[in-house]
Amino acid sequence: MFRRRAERGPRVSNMNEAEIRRRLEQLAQVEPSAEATQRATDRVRQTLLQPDARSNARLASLWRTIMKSPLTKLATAAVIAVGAAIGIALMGSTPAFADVVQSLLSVKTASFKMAMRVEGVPPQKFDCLYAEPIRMRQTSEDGSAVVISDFEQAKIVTLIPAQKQAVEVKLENMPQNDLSQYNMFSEIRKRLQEAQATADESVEYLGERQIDGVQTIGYHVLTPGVEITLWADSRTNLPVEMEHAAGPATYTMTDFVFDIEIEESLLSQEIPADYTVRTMQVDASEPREDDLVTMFRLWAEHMDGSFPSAFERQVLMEFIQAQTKKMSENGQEPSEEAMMQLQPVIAQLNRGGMFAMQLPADSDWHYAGQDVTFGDAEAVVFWYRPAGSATYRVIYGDLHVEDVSPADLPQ
Amino acid sequence: MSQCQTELLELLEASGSKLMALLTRLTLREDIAEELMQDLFLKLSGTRNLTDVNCLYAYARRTAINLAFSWRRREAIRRSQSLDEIPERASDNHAPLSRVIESEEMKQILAAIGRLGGSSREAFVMRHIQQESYEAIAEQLGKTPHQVRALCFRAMRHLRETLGCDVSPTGRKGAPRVEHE
Repeated sequence: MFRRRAERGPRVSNMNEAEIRRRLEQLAQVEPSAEATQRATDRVRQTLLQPDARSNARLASLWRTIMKSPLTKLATAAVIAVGAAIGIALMGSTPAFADVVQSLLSVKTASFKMAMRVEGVPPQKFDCLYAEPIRMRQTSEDGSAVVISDFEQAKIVTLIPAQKQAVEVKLENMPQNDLSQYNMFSEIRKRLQEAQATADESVEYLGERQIDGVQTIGYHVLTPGVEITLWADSRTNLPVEMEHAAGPATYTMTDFVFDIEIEESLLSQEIPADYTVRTMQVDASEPREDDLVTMFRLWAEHMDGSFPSAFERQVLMEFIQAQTKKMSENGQEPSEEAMMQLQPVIAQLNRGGMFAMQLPADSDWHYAGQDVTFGDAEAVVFWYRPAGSATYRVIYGDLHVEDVSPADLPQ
Repeated sequence: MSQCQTELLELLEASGSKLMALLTRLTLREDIAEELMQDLFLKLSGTRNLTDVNCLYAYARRTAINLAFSWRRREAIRRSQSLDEIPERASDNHAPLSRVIESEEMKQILAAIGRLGGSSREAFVMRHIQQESYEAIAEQLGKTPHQVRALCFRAMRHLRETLGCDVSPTGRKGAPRVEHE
C-alpha cells in the first residue's frame, strides 16, 4: 500500500554519464498523445475565453493543490462540510414533489455512497451511514479516515486509524431549533419538505430514466451557485441518486439502502484509548456582523495587512494555500500541529463569510477591500443594509463600523 | 478581449503543444501535464504586467519548468507521507511513454535535475530535454553560448555525482569534460 521508493533523494544507481545521456535522449523523445494535447489546449482556450470558466478553473486548481496533501485536506474538511451545508441552504423554496418528499421523510436510517468530485482531482469517495435524529458516519473509501457526527451531542469526531489519531470538534452555541442544516442528508430532506408548500420555477421535472435497472423520475433544482439533481424510484418514491453541484465541486450520493439496522457502535463517538486526541471548539451560533469584522482582522493579520482579493468562496482556499506555503519550510509539508492551530482561524473566517452569504438579497452588500490596507480609517472595505434599516453599516480599513446614509456610500 | 488574453491565446496557438510536450517530459504523466497546462495559463493570466514581458514564450517555459518540478517535489513528499495509492502511469494507451515511465532511472534523473539551481536547470532542460542548440539557449537566456555550455557541464557533473557514480565516459573519475556537440 505504501510507496516510498521513488524520488526520495539521492541514491546510488551507478549510472555513468553515457547512461544518463542515453536516458535524456529517451526523455527528449517523449511526446504526449495528440488527444491529450488537444484536450489540454481546448481546456486552456475555453478558460481564457470565458471569465466564469477561468474562475472555476482557478478554484479547481486550488482544490487540486489542497487535496493533494493529507494535512491540508484535513484542515479543509470542516470548511467543505460547512460549505456544502451553505450551498444547500441557498437552495431556497422548490415546488411540490410531495410523494418523493414524503417517502424520504419517512426514512429512519440509510446507508449510501457519496463521491466528491472536483475537476482535475481524483474523486473522494465515502461510505455513509445516516440515522435519525441527526447522526452520520462517513468512512473514506480506503478506510484512512472516519468521521462520526452527532449534532444533538454537538460533536464531530474524526478518526485516522493508521496514525491512531483523532480530532474531536465540539460545536458550541448550536441553535437547538434546527439542526438539519449541519448534515447534508438531513438538509436535503428538510428542503424537499419545504418545497411541498411552495411553487417555484427553479424546479424542473426531468422525466424518467433507468438507473441500474430501476425506473426513476428526476427533478432538477437550480439556485444561484448550486444545482441539485434528484432521481427517485418511480415505484417507492425513494431517492436512487442525488447530486449536489456547486462550482467545480460535485457531491453524488448513490447506492441508497433505507431503514437498515445500524450497529450502535458504528455511530459511537467514543475514541479508542490508544489514540492521540486533539480537541477543537467551533462556534456554531448564528454568525453576526462581529464575525465579519473578526474575519477581516484575522485575514489582515495573517496576510501581511491585506484584505481578500475578492469576496467569494474560493478566497478561503487561497488563504489556506497561502498559509500552507508560509508554514512550509525547505519544501516540507507544514507540521500537523501548525495545521491544527490554523483550524480555528479557518473556522472564524468561515463564519464571517457565512454572515455575508446569509444576508438577504435586498441587503445590497458590497465588498471593496481588495486594494485597502489594514488600518486605513478612511477606506471602505464592506457595506450592507441590515433588514428594515434606512442606513447602511459600513466597515472601514481600520475595522471600525459606522451607520451611513445611502447618499454617503462610496460610488 | 484584453490585450493580455489576446497574447495568451496567441501563445497557446503558437506554442501550446510545445509547452504540453515539455510538461509531459518533466512529469512523465499526461494527465498531470494537462492539469499543469491549465495551471500555467491561469498563472500567466494572473501575472501583473504580463504584457511588459519581453518574450512571453520564454517566460511561460520557465514557469512551466518551475510548475513541473514543484509538482515532482510535492509528489516526492506525498509519496513519503501518504497512505494513498499513487498512480504511476502517464497514459493507459500510450505504450512507448509507459515504458519510459516505468524506468526508475528516469525518475531519478528528473529528481536530480529538479535539485539544480534555477538557470542551470532551465539551461539543462532546454539543452537535453528540449534539445535546443547552445546558441538558441544562449539567446533566450541572455547569456553567451560558452556560458550555457559551462552551465550544462556543471549540471551534468551534478547529475553524475547525485546519481552515485561520478565517472566520466572516458573512465576517469571526475575528469573535466567540455561538451562539443
